[in-house]
Order: sequence, then C-alpha cells, then structure tokens
Amino acid sequence: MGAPSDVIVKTDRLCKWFPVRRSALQYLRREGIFIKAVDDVNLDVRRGEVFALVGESGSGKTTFGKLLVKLLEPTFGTILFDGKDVSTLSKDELLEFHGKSQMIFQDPYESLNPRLTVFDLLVEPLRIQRRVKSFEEEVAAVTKALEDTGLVPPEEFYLRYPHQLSGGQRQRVAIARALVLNPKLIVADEPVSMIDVSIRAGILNLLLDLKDKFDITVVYITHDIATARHISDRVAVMYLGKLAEVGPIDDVVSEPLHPYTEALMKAVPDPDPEAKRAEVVLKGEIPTPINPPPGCRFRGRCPRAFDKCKEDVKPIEIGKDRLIYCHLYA
Amino acid sequence: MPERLLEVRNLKTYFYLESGESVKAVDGISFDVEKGEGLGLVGESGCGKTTAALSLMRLLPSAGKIVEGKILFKGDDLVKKSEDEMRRIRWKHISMVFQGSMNALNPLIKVGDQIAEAIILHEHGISKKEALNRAAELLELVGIERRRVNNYPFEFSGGMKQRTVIAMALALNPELVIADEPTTALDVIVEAQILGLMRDLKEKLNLSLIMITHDLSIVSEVCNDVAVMYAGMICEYGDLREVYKNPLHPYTAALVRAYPSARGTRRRLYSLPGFPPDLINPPSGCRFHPRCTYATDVCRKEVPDIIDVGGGHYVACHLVRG
Repeated sequence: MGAPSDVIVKTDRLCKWFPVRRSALQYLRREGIFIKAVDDVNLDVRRGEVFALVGESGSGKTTFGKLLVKLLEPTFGTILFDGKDVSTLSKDELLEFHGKSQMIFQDPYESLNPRLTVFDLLVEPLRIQRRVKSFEEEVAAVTKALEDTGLVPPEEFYLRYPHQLSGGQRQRVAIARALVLNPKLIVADEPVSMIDVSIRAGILNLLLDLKDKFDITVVYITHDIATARHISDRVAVMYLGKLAEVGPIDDVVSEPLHPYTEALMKAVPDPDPEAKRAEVVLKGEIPTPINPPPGCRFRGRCPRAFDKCKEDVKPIEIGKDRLIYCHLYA
Repeated sequence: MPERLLEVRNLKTYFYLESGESVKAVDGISFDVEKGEGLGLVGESGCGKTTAALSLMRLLPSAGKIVEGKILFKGDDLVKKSEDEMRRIRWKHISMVFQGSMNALNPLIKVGDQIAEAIILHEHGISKKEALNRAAELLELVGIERRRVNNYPFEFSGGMKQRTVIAMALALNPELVIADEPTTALDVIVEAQILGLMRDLKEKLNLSLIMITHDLSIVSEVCNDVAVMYAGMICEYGDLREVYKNPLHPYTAALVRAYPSARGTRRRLYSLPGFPPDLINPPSGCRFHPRCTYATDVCRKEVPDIIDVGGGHYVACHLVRG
C-alpha cells in the first residue's frame, strides 16, 4: 500500500443496499429485503492511475461508480476523497467536490440533453460551479474543452445538437463536459460499449492522453477485459456486489487467480481466427443480488467450489499488490 | 465440393429520399455462402451491412429499392420473386435474427406462443398443440428448459431472450440464418455462450450463417469467410484466416489493428481517423481514400475493381495488383 497521499479515493466497507418492496406479511414481520448492489467493498484508487472495474451486468460496478462521485449515498461505509470523508461535506464543499470528480456515462445517445446545443451542454457545469463570469470566459473554456477532446474546429460544434453528431463525437462531447471543470477524478462508465470497434480506440486513447496531460485519475468501468488491459494500470474484478480480485492489470490478465476472473478471461472472444476459441466455463447468468446467502457470492456458479465457500471470504494477499477474495488461496 | 447455397452478384440497393436524392447504401456487392458455412459481414455503422441483409430477405422499407443485381438462392433469383413467393421462402428457407430483436418480444404473450405463431403461420394444418410442442423442443435446442414455454419475456434474462429469438429463427428449419449484431448489448460471458450456441447449431443442423457485426472477434468465433464492407461496397473478401493474417486493404488492416486483444501484448491502440462517408454524395474514386494513409491520385479518381489475388482472396484497392 502506498503512502496516504498517493491515494485519491479510498472506500472503507462501502455498501449500497437498495430496499425492495415488501409484501404485507414481510412488512409485519419486519423482514428487510435488499438488493445488495455494493456490499462491503474496500478499494484504494491511486492518484494518476487508470483503475479498471470489471464485471458482468448486475455486478454492481455502475453503482460503485455512482457512489464514488456521490450521485448515490452509501448505505454504510465511507468514501475518503483526498483524505476527507465525503459524507461530512458542507454545501460549498460538496459543490467543490462535484467539480473535482466527474462521471462519463455509458450511452452518449441518452446522456446528452437533445434540446441543448454542444455549447450549452458544456457551459452548464461551468455556470453551476460559478467558474465563469463573462461570455468571453465561457467561450474560451468551451473552446478549450472541445479542442482538448479532438472536436476541431470547435466553432463547427458550438451550435450543433446531439442528433447532428456521430456516436464517437457524442462521447467526446460527454468527455469534454466532464473535462471543462478540470476534474481530478473521472469515472468513465462503459464509455465505449455503445461505439463501433473502429472508433473505440480513439476514445480510449483520448482518455489516456487527457489523464497524462491534466493529471487526472480515471476509474474505467467496463465488462470488457480486452480494452481494460490496454488502458489501465490496475484492475478490480467485481461479482454480485463484492470484490473477487484486485491487482495490477498485467498480472491479473496473464495469470487470473480467482475462478471468476479466469472464466471472464476465457470468455473473451479473440479476433485471431487461429487463436483458441472463447470457452464457456460458466453456465447460466449472474443470480439476483436480493438477500444473497452468506459466503462467497460466486460459489453457485464456481466450477471449483467446495464446502468452505459457504463461509465469508477474507481478502488474501498474494504476490505483489494483489488481493484475492477466494478460499482456494487461504 | 461444398454446395453453394447463396450467390449474391453485383447487388445494388438505393434509398430514394423525398428530396429526390438517393442514398447508395449498397453499391455493387458480390459474395457467396456455402452450405453449412458462415460468412461474416463486417464494417462500421452506416456502411450498409443491415441494408444488405434486408435486401436478401426482401424486407426493405418502402424507400429502399434493389436497383440492380442478382440474389441466387439455390440457383433461384430472389430479386425476381413476387411478394407472395418471397413469403414462402422467408423463415422457411432464410430466416433472420434482427438487431435488437430480443427487446422486441411481445411482453404480453408467452414466449412459447410467440415461437408457435411463426410455425402455425407457415405450416398449414399444424395444430396449436403440435406447434407448442415444437416451440418447447426449440427452446431445448438453444439451451432453455422446455417448461419455460409458459413464461413471459420479462421472466427471461437478456441472454435467454437472445436465445429465444434464435430459436424463433430456427423454427422452420431454415437453410440460411442471417444474424444482425446478435451479441451487441450482451456481457462477455453471455456473449461467449451465444456464440458457442451458434457454432454448435451451425454444425448440428448444417446451417449456413451470415453474421453481421462491427466486431471482428465475433466473426472469428463463428465464421469461415469474411466480407469487409465500407461505404456500401465490399473492400476485401475471402477466407477469414487469410484475410486476418494478411489484410491487403488498408481499411481491413486498420480494423485488425484497432482491435484490442486481451491476450496479446499491451500496446497503445491504433485508432482509425475520421468517419464513414455520407452515402448521398460518396467520395469520388475509392470511397475509403479520405481516411486512407496510402491514398494517391488514382484513388481519388477511379473506383478500384475487386480482384482475385489468389485462393479466393478478393481485394478492391489500387495498391494491390492481381
């Protein structure tokens, strides 16, 4: 673990439980039913890295991302941003926090208001943050953000509406909107999953360039280990609201230790026709996270499950900087 | 010798806009599909892949017209068929898994009834009971328990809905199935399951497949041949291994390089600059020239012919001489 100053975000026992509507009987019995979307997650994101959060749909990775930027309030646990507990922030401090931590959403067809022009979309966060005082300042800030995200010449984009942009351009606008506030942290939730493969690379390279240029930390949420491998430094694999494995991306990809990570790696299709074909190790799909039983969440689908998996899992440190949440390695 | 099932020759499909302009969505494509083989139709959004598929099914929207070319299915030209004759070919001989169709299942009708509907409409005299029984068998074929015929779509997960629409496409034992982006919006694990299923079905039923996708890795999982489309034309076509190992067209090479591999070495991804062109006024000459790093004068003026460079590997590029 690095010195505290190396860590930009630290989560401690972070939980987000969504209550589910109960029947009258359950209500009378005071039974609580919860979707445990994020359950007891301890993670450190280090300053200046690209941290990938990988998992299937329903693994809780988007909820985790939203917690990080405080679009959701945790049920239990704390988030330390720059060493400060974000749940105790005053109104002014909260505004400042939102300026420092921004999110880019999955679907650029839905995340941009269709009735606002690109200029209005980009200027809105600046006005909310009271960063601009005159029209000239607004134009300057918007122009810079457009240039930084490769939307050139910027004048051509000011007055365009989202429907006049291609998918790749829309996602660049979404990135520009986050960038315009000079954030310290960007949480990018599946930023390329809705975009053609040929354009994906451009968006991912852009994120990397911006990270280096402006000293931004990126949390990259994805179900695609292949893209995570090319842009990130460390990775956390999530399953059903819990962590499965955390470590440097190269190590995790070349030698996945948790059975779930292994299954994920085997399922990735390879463009090389002579490569080994994707293998389906897992049957079925991710189960519901409503009141999951204790023990390892993955044990129902795990090909290597044994008796001990019914007990709760403690993280085990293996090698350098790697944590595995699996009884096999105890 | 493999039996040739489908031969497409110089197919052109244009859309006519109210303004009088025409969109040359498919502009002279030719390819073959053999019995029991899979062809991948690859390209970026807006390059005409889906229009090509809808042309094969003769399901174009009213503004779209096949203006030229032949679609020979077992030697019969589908372009010349009447709508009535087409209706007998569709689903029975050629069926399609439409893009996003897993979200188009009717939420108010049981899954089994939706599959049975197609069977009853096409096979005269079959009873509802028999059709439902077939529907249950089809669900089993795609890996869903047969008792789930009585479920509604909302009781199915995304992967199961995708399996259901594949089962629907197989309902009448077609010889050719066209799958348009069958795994988009699915997770890696479910995607691998669906691709594995399609590979199995292809072998088990000796099915021919056309897979439409922007993702080369999906083609590699299921197909033997690949046709790379750009701006309504095929720029490279041939055996998948050959095309992947030795891409001759700069566009194919860019697609291969842009693809992130989870297993290979880590590198900065290559990104192809620019966007596919507007097909109302496509660029002169080779349609790829504005994005091509190797473009020369001749590329700006003349449309390259598609030529055989040997072994059934076809390329349309001025840089490549036969």
